[in-house]
Amino acid sequence: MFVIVIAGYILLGIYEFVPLYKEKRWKEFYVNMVLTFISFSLALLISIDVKIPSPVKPIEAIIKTIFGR
Amino acid sequence: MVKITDKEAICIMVLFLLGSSIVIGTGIEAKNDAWIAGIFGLVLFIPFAFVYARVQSIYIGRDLFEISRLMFGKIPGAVIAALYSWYSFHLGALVLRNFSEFVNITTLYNTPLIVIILSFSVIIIAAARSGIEVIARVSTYALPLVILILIFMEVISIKQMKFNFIKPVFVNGFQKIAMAGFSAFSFPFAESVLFLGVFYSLKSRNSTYKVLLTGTLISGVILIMMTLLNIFILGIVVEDFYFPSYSSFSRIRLGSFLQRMEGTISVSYAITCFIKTSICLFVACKGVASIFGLDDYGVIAIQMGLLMAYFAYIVYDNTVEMVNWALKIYHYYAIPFQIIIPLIILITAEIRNRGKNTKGRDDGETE
Repeated sequence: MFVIVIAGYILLGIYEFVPLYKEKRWKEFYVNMVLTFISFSLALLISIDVKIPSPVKPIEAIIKTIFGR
Repeated sequence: MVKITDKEAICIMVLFLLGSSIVIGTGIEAKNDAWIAGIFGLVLFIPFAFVYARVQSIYIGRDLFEISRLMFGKIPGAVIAALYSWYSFHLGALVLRNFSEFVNITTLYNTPLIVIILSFSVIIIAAARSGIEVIARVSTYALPLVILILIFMEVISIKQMKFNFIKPVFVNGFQKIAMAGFSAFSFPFAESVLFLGVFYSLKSRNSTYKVLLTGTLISGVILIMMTLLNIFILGIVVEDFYFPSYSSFSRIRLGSFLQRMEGTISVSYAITCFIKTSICLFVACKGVASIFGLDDYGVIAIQMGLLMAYFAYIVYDNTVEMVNWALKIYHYYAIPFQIIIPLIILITAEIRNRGKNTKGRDDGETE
């Protein structure tokens, strides 16, 4: 599975980053790079069946302590 | 600059508000009094519609993120923009997850959830990347279809309805109905706070009030009708279904000719969810772009969309958790985004506007 993910992200990278690089839009390039890095790591973790803790659980815990439900 | 007409904005708004509540229903904690809760939520929302519309009409042609930066300065403005980007991103992920669970439970039993989420997110990304004008045009074609389907189904289901299921009215007590009403307020009506990130593109200058109120009223009426239909067909057990509208539509039959019509609600659900998630993604991308000062939000749409899809996948472990969050936690979680921050923005905007107007009178200019 993770081979597909890597291949997919390489294609996506070519599609997205080459035009940005050519046009020298560095701000867009770096923001997109960070987002791609996060999403690639998540995709890789999901593809090898790692259980990622849900970010909603802490929010739920806070709400439960505040409202007591 | 991209512009949308009032009519298109109303269409987006109605489809957005129908979003996932068309199948999950509003205020179903109140069982057979859910329709009262729906009306309560709608009435409760009207003052807030005025709040949102007033904020937009003070800063015509600017989106929520620009407004917050103009009012609170660079860093606090960026914090508010980040909060709303998160809310929008999270809401989009929740709707995406709801829809994918729905498809997984009702139609594609053996397909892995991630496949459904990813295939749905492809069209969402395409829509958000194409911009608000494209979403608006799709909505104008989709809204009549959705409304026609719902009216047709309501009419042919009359024979199946048992009108005494609605009785005894007010049996759940005022407190429970009020709580359910509050939950109907926050999901879906007050979610329209996200439209502060869309209304900057309205063609006519002062139509925010019209769009917000008309959109809310139309979708409110449709939702309350759906809730009533579910109560008339399913009775007080309506709360026990994950997707009450789907269950009630699957019971509709007209002789042996028309039966198992639940596909129609799936189509409406797909359309409304598509519009809702694309608006959420659009606003989230706009927010991130404004935080980092990007000229074009479109370049980050693909990655944000993929992140939204992964987030939708990891956010809950199972359906029970999803329904629990939607019905028990969500309306508390949404209070700051839907009530507190808009009120702060409005008060600050009014104070600033007043100061500007008195100053502007001397200079001979008004905002």
